[in-house]
Amino acid sequence: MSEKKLMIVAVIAYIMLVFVCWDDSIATSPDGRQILTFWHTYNDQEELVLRDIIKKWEGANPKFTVRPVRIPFDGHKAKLRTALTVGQGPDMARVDWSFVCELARKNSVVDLETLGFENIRRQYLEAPLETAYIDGKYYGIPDQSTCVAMFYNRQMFKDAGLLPEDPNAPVVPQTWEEFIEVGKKLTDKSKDQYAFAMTNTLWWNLPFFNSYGARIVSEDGKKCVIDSDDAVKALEMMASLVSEHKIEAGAWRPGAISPEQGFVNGKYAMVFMGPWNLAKFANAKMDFGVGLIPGGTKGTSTNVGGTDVVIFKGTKYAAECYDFLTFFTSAENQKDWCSKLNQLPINLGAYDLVSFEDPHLMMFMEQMKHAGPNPVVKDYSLLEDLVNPEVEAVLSGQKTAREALGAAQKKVQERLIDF
Amino acid sequence: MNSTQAIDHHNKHSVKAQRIVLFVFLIAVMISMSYVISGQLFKFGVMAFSAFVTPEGPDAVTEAGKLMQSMTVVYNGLAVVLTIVLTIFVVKKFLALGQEHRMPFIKRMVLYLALTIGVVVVLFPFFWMLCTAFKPSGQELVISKTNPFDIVPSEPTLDNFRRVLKVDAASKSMAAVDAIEQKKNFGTYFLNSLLVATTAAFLVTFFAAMGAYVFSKKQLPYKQQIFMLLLATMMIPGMMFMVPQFFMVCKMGLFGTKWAMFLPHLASVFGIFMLKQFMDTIPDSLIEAAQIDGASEWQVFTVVIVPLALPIILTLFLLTFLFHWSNFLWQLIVTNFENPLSITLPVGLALFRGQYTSELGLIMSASCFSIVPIAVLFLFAQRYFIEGMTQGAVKE
Repeated sequence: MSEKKLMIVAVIAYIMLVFVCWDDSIATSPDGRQILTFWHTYNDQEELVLRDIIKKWEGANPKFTVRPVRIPFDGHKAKLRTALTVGQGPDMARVDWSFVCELARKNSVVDLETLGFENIRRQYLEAPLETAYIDGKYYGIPDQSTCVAMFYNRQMFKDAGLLPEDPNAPVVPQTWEEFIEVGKKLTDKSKDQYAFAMTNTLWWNLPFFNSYGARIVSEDGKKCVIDSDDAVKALEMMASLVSEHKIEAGAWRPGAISPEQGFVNGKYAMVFMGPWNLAKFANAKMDFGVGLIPGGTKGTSTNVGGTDVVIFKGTKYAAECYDFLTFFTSAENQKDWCSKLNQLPINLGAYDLVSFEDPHLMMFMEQMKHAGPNPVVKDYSLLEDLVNPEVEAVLSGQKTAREALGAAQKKVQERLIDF
Repeated sequence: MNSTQAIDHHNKHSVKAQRIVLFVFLIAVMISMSYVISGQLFKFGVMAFSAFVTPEGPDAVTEAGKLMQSMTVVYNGLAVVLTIVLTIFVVKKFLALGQEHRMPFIKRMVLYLALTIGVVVVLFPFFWMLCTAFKPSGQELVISKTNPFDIVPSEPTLDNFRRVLKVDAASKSMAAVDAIEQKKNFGTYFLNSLLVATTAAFLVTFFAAMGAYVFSKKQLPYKQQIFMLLLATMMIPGMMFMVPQFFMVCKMGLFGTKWAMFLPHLASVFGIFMLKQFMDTIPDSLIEAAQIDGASEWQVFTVVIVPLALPIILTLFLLTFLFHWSNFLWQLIVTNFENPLSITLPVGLALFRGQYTSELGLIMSASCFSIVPIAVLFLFAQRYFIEGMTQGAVKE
């Protein structure tokens, strides 16, 4: 068959395809109930549980129905920004914690205190809740929360003779000083084996800062305080892991083996990691454990990740949305959610109801109680872009911690807070 | 025997010895490469086979692993046999040649070995993609301790493919929830993207060809200035247009339709520029000849210009297709996620990525399907690519 014929066949096939398949409409049967749209970023398993909870809520509210719509987490910010611009936004949405501040400052989400949030806000964990606390008001409810803790490779500890005899004793050192001592025993450069590996982004570095009690942004959000003495101490300690004690693998350098990959392959003995990788590491058939992050001057601490749910000003049914979201995050439903999906509860009431068989998850629940505050700014990714290069300059020995953090403070203050 | 003859003789011998050493060295390289490459390929075949024959179940992974283990001999044996056959073939061919043909033969061997290395380097990412698609969750990052280059999984699974195509148990229970959920599968996304990308590519090449013809061959007041103005718009980053374009698309009532996916990109300045540069090389005398024979304007365009510019038109078609096949951000913005018929492939693939974890296996198995149209198009249009380049080079 000549190429010309082939082309003609392709064109005809395409035209037929268009006639048969070009269909944009999909049949949805309205049943008289008012639809509340809820944009979320859950996965299949989570969505099934969400639908169960929705069904329960609809039983009590027969006039309304909640329609869950999944959007990709990558790009959920862009999608929401553009949709809100033309008024195509949903009634409520689940957004990354760092996005709530932007939405609140742009005046697109409802202040929850007008809906009576004051009465129930004490039931939520403080650190996740604080991510939705902007300019003195609460604009979102945490719906899912994570933090990082210290994962350790049991086999490597055993090989180095560092496993305690008592199986209940903590394996990971309790303070950074002990951590450095243990780290030296675990590091063996001839075997390309290191005690610790870290990524250099601000969120992943927060456990260091928080364990020294150093804030990035002051509590009222008006001043960047990253150049405080505590922060300098924390960063100096971090840098000493790399330069002085040489127990960190340099995983923060571009092109290096990532902490996750190095940990799975037995190159790094300890890494910061979140509960999302527990199942994955178990599948990889490795012998690992989870411990609390070593403490600085303020004891063990960690960062907060996760998402908040918000209600948009465009909705006519803010009260119903609020009712649904508080129902969704109530202690009882959180218990279902967390025990079915192996996730950490955000409702303090659920803490007493949930108990996991997995000791690692229990360790995360413990670590979560010590979580420090995250910096709440209107453009979190810009904050990362401003701070990360300065920290990298310290890690690679080009600047002292005080110089770098002073420069970072100035940049953040000028470009992010006063701007 | 005088001294020059002796030196000649000596030289001949040393040249011969050099040749033999070189040949043996090349054979050694060839044997090791052939064994490693064919070993991996056969292992991949065995792996895919054992993944296919093991039924879905909780122990499927270990069972498939056992099956693979039992067939170790098969793939290693096949690799050895292939290598031996290849070696015998090459050595026989070498020995059958006369002395004067042996050096060129060695040179050809070097060339082929270098080309083989090139092919391996180019195809390795695709091979990695195929292998990762078969790895169970959690195993994607594990590197084999005995041989770090052995990337074929030892315990394969088809779960990733099942989940992508939504034929596994979890997705079935999800589909039972809702009629709309049923349509949210890879097949729908694939078809949507195919329709969007092909239609866009057809229309863009059509409009760009007509525009380029005018700018290249027709008289138009302020033609040069208008063209410069058009080119100047290329300097504005596309991001700037996104919100206004989205606003317009919504006002037209096209939000969440397939038209919205490509309508703002139909006027392609880049396409006009590319085609115009090519059409400038087509001599005016051809057009005049056609006009003398009584061709209308439309006939000049379709009978003279388009066939001559076909290589470059096909190139533009391919580039536009690629652009719309992978245009994530714009399609994300205009997608109506309540309607699966408006979700395209790049956006659908993003649904697999979570906040912290990326399901590498899922992404890779989905990618296996999504590169198929691109690969087919490239194979088909490859010849025109080269033709387009050489034609441009020798025109008057």
